[in-house]
Amino acid sequence: MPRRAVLLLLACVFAAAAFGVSRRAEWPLPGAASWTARHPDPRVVDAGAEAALAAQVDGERRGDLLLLFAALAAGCLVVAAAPRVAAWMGGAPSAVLLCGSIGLGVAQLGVSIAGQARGLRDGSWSVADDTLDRIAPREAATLREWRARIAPDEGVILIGSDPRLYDLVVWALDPRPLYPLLLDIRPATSAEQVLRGARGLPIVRERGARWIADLNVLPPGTPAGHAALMRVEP
Amino acid sequence: MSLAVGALFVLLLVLAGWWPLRRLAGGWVGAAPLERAALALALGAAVTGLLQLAVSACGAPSTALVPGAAAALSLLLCRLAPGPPSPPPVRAGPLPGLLALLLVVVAVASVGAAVGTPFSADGVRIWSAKARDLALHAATSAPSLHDPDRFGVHRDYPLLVPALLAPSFAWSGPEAAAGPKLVLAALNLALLGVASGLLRRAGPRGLAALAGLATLPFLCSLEVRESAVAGGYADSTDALFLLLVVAGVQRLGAEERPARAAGLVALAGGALVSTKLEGGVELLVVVVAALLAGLPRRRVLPAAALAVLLALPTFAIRAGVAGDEAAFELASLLAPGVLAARAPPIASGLAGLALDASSFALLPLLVLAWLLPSAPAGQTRTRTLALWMLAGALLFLATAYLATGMIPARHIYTSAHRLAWHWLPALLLLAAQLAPAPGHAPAHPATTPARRPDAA
Repeated sequence: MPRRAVLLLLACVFAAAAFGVSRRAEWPLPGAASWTARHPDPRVVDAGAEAALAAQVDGERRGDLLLLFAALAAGCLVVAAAPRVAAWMGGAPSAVLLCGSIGLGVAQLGVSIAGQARGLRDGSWSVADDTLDRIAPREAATLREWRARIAPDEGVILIGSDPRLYDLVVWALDPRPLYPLLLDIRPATSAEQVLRGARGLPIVRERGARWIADLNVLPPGTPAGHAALMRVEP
Repeated sequence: MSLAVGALFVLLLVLAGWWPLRRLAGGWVGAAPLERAALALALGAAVTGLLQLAVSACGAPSTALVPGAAAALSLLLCRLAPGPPSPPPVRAGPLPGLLALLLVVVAVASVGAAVGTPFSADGVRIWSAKARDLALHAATSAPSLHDPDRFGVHRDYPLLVPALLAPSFAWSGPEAAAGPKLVLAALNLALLGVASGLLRRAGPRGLAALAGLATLPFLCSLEVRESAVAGGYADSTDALFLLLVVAGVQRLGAEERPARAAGLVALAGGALVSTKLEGGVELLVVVVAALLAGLPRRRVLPAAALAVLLALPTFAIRAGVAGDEAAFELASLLAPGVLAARAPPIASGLAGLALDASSFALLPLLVLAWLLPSAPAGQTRTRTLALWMLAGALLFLATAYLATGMIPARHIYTSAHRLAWHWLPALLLLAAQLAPAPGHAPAHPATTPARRPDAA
């Protein structure tokens, strides 16, 4: 009976902790920011991006703590309700951890199944051979048009550094040779200026790259002084 | 169409692994047909992947020829050279109906999370990009590996997984992902099946551990960063081979005639080294941990040497690829300013892995709760092996992040949980063996007739 009382008490404590965590948007590590300010990493070149990452990690830490406390509370409740589980597991701590883990896992399993069912309804989950429409509903038509225009052996210079658009083009234009230039050009730059710059590149003169694609103006409707895909003649 | 192609290649991998299953692990993994199929798939992936890499290193693209030939050869050898009869399977506890149902639901959800979603992040940039390149070119000439101007990420990564995916890509349409991702999902399930076969021998706690492993959010999450399958990464394959290496190493210390166990360690170890860059270090950590735990050197070292030999194609391919920007700067390990900046966030990042509930639920805490108390009588070696493995894994991760050429916080955020996943099933196996419930003798591989009292 005392063990059951302790487990119920712990369940309340963990539930309260979960509730406390849920009321905050982030959970930063104590002292981490001041340590970083006093000891900056020499590799960090974009403090803004790193601050954004830190905020994201703090938010995910909050989510993990919430799940952790909720799972511990559930585990305590199960073992308090069914003490045989602790005997079977060789101890209450193991039983609490295992029951909490399974409970959390089953809940997440439900989330995954519900997400897949939702995706099936809205078209984002499919086993059909047409992933491009699902990855990039806005850009798929443009990328298919590019694939029709660019011969499989013609090289393409990639301008821009947006990771999502980069992945899209890498996926859609395979097996065409891709030559990434990790730089951004102003959207207002004229087509002639872009082509003049491209003609001077060794990959055009010596390696046969014949197209230049500016990922920054790939999304339909982006105002720009040049097309997203242009043919380059050396 | 693509899904059917993927299913065909999964079947070929299972067939390719059937003869190795009979020769290396026939009486070990248990009698359940799905567990045997899972182990056959794992061994078939190792054999086919290593053969595919050898062929690729000799100048040929990765086509369906190798999987087809490996499957045909395996079936032929099953008839011509079945080998000596396997010892009767070690009796395992029956799978409770509810747990069996849970495993089925997890399998369906996990495969669904893989095949119904496209490749993303590293799945696009690394694994599928290399697989598509290998479908057309040999690794010795693939432009993405040898032309520094061409798009290519981590040209020095081992290529076993891309070589396994390449034929599915070649036979699928240009946008199709379901087939190749089914191959990855099947390897994820193979991990669960092999773990099931091993854990069922560890008594009630083994079954409990299996339930905990099966319900890990990481196995079926749709959230790309926190999923073993949705993004199309190779980490579950690494975890699968690492689990087989550890299980094989345990048998090396327990069996009177360890040739089968040595073969298993060599095959899985060679595949591990050929799957991810970390695989080589992971094999080294297991070997060192085994020696420190008192496993016989004359058995462990030859098996490890054979594993390195099997990975020769990977080393040969890697020696020829175009150089990438250095991923690690060892000078950082000697720079006080860098160490001061990085040590606290790395320590907190690694400690945070134990609390990463969205990926691993409470399983890391459970593993620690089983590993840290003193071991029951006769299990000291198992505990020592596990603790040295854990220490080696943490040391490797800490060193890698201290020396990383990336920004450490970003590097930890994007990779630490996936690298931890490599170790979790193997550590769970060892931890479950340490905790026999009263009245239940452990029945893991150490209980073969030849075992010594302290054999793991």
